[in-house]
Amino acid sequence: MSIRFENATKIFRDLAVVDRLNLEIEDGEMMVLLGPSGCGKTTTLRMLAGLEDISEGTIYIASRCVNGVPSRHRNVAMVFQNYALYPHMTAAQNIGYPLRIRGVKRDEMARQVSEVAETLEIGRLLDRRPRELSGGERQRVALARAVIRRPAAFLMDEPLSNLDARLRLQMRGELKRLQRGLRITTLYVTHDQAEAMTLAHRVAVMREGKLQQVGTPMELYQRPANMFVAGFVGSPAMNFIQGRMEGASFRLNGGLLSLTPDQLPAAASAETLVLGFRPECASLTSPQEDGALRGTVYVTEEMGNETFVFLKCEDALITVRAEAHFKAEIGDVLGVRVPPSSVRLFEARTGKALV
Amino acid sequence: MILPPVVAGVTWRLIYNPNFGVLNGILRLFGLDTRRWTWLADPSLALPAVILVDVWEWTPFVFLILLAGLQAIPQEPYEAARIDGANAWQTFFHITLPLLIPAILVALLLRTMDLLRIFDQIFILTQGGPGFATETVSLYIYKTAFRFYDFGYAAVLSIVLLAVTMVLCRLYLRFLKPNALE
Amino acid sequence: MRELKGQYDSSFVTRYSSFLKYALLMLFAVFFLFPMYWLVLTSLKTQADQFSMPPVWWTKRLTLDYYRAIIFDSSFETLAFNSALACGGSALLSLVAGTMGAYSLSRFRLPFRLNHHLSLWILSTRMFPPIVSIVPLFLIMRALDLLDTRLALVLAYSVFNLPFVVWMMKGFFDELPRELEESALMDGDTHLGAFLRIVLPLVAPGIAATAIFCMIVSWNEFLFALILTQTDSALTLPVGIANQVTQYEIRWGVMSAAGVVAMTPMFIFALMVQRYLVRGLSFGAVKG
Ligand SMILES: Nc1ncnc2c1ncn2[C@@H]1O[C@H](COP(=O)(O)OP(=O)(O)O)[C@@H](O)[C@H]1O
Ligand SMILES: [Mg+2]
Repeated sequence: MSIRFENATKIFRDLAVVDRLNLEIEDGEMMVLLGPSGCGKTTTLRMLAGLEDISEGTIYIASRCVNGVPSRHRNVAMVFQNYALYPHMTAAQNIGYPLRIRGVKRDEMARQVSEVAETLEIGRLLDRRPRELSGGERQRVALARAVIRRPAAFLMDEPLSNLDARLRLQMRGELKRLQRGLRITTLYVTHDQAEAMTLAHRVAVMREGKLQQVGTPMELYQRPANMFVAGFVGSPAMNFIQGRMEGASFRLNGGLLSLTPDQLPAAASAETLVLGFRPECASLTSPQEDGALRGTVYVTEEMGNETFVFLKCEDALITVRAEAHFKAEIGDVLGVRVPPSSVRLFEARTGKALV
Repeated sequence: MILPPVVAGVTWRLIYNPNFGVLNGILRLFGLDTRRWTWLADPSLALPAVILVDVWEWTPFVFLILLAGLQAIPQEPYEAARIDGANAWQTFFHITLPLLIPAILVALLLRTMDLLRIFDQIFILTQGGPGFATETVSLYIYKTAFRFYDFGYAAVLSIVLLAVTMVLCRLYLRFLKPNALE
Repeated sequence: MRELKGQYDSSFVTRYSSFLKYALLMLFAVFFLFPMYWLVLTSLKTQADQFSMPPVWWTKRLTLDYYRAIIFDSSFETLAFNSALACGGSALLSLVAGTMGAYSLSRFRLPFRLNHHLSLWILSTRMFPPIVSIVPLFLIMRALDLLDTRLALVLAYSVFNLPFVVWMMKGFFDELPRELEESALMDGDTHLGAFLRIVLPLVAPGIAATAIFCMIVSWNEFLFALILTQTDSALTLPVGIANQVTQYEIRWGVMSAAGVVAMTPMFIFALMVQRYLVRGLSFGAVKG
């Protein structure tokens, strides 16, 4: 079932927490709403769920306007950050609760519960109460409760954030398999860009209530619409250096970086420019090399499979990925080679991407 | 504290009884029965006697509030103080007491409000006597209304008492605010 | 803390101070427990032992006569029945109305900061002395021709029980994560259904504790009963006992027995709500 937000707005005390959101989620698609905490993700989700009134605009579920429709008539299921399992019910009763409300017969309910429990591998936990379950198990029970009624859509609010790092990775994979298998339209909220990139068909990036960009993970990574998206997606974050054009080149500390022909017209149109490049696209060379950026080593971080070198270039701190065995001392002066094709240009004032 | 105040009153009338009361019996054990102590009938003894009953009845309650307050204090400050070399007294005055202030204030507030309304025990013990030795505002209002049937005057007294209570309550809450009642 | 005392910590000092500590504790324990012991003992002593001087500290000559006397005294039974009815009725009334009030106060945002003002207003009822309301209360009950009825007591007790219930239950509701009800709504339940199926079962222990507190306070209540009742048709146990005390000749044995009977249920109640004792007695100010 498709979902559509049309100028959806939420106002708390004259502040638009969600500001004219236009977003369409296709049937069976997993859309991830990504943004820093406090940007209005939860509010968006709660408006869709019917837990929060919508101040302006319209929300459609399966082409039906659901403004003012109570949650129980929206046919959507929600997984809460803290799972919101009913503490006084066993896992089986928790999972069966949506069916119980709908008056499903007892034995039919038991059959469906055990079937869902089987898929989520919690069959042997059904008699336990939430407090006797581990975090990961609670998570599964909460998922089972959402899955059992085959809703029109899943809504998930940072469902993995209460798990420890290892379990989070594991559940991330399982969640993806589950969603792809059931093909149920899903709106998934997170502030973790890695989660967004790995789970989503498409990602919607939000900032201070405003939608920044919608696209596949690859599109966001390769063609971010603005500096915010560019900085938020990808880890470590993209490097930004402010500068100006000199003829067909960009003036860098220590050298001139020539741009590719297709970048030139756009670059010329802007007054001040910000040049962005990803740590994994640049490489380290000698500081004397022509056209290389010069920087002083600030600190290095050896990760085992790779090493990140942080350099101070005038007032900017930039990151470059080097191979695992790269060695440098704090204070060394190095050159950074940036291939022109990997450079993104942004207009400094608005942050908008050029080209 | 969950004891019916009337029963508390009865119990202490047993204890204070000048003829066969156990208090005089205890004094006798120590040879202090130099005279027949009439605890509740002696104008200079009646008030302390009544106060003792209240102390007896409500100390356990204050104890429980403070205990709850003590239990809510985390362990870390103590460990830090130990490492910093504080002795037991210093720990008490520098850590326990300051952290216990909200609980102490709550106890003080509740007890003050209770004492402004005290009625039952005194009614049983002395009815406010001898003379006016143990007469409280509540008792005075009661007598005005239901012994002398002066409802108007009793109403005025009530309003004054209410005003005093509200002012006191405000003051306490102002103190409590920074410490947060909840 | 003991190891901090360092080198000069002689075992004499330790033993001396811990002896002092326990002696002090003993003294306190005796002070707080002895009066209760004395009341119970008096209710079991023969009349001669009651009046002897020096007092009879302990005796094997015990009698149940006084208990027999009050059990076969129909007027005592009436008083106990009045007390039970007044406190049960008012607890029930306050609980039904108060629980729902507390729920809306905890969950719904009312306009004009009403949540805040109402909460403070309710809290203030704990603070003001009941004596200030007896004049209007008496006049109202007289006007309604309810003086000396048990209904008057039920209503009067609800005056303080209702705000108590609202305040206590609001505390319990506030502790319950809102997501639970939202989750129930998402699962297809109605507001009422979520309240009945999810919220109520979870606050059930709180409701039980609150009910018991209401009953303790009403059972012990003296002032309202004193002014609102006159005859056996509505007199409560505390007033009945008080009427005995203030007469010239006091039947101490019967009095003590009545006192023991009046306080025993309260002790049982207190044991039942042990976990919430401080919270209830402090009007929720101390969560304990
Ligand atoms: N009930 C509310 N009343 C007032 N402001 C709120 C309320 N709920 C959320 N907000 C505000 O709206 C903004 C967005 O909140 P939220 O949607 O929870 O952000 P996110 O989930 O992205 O972290 C925050 O600044 C928050 O303070
Ligand atoms: Mg959120």
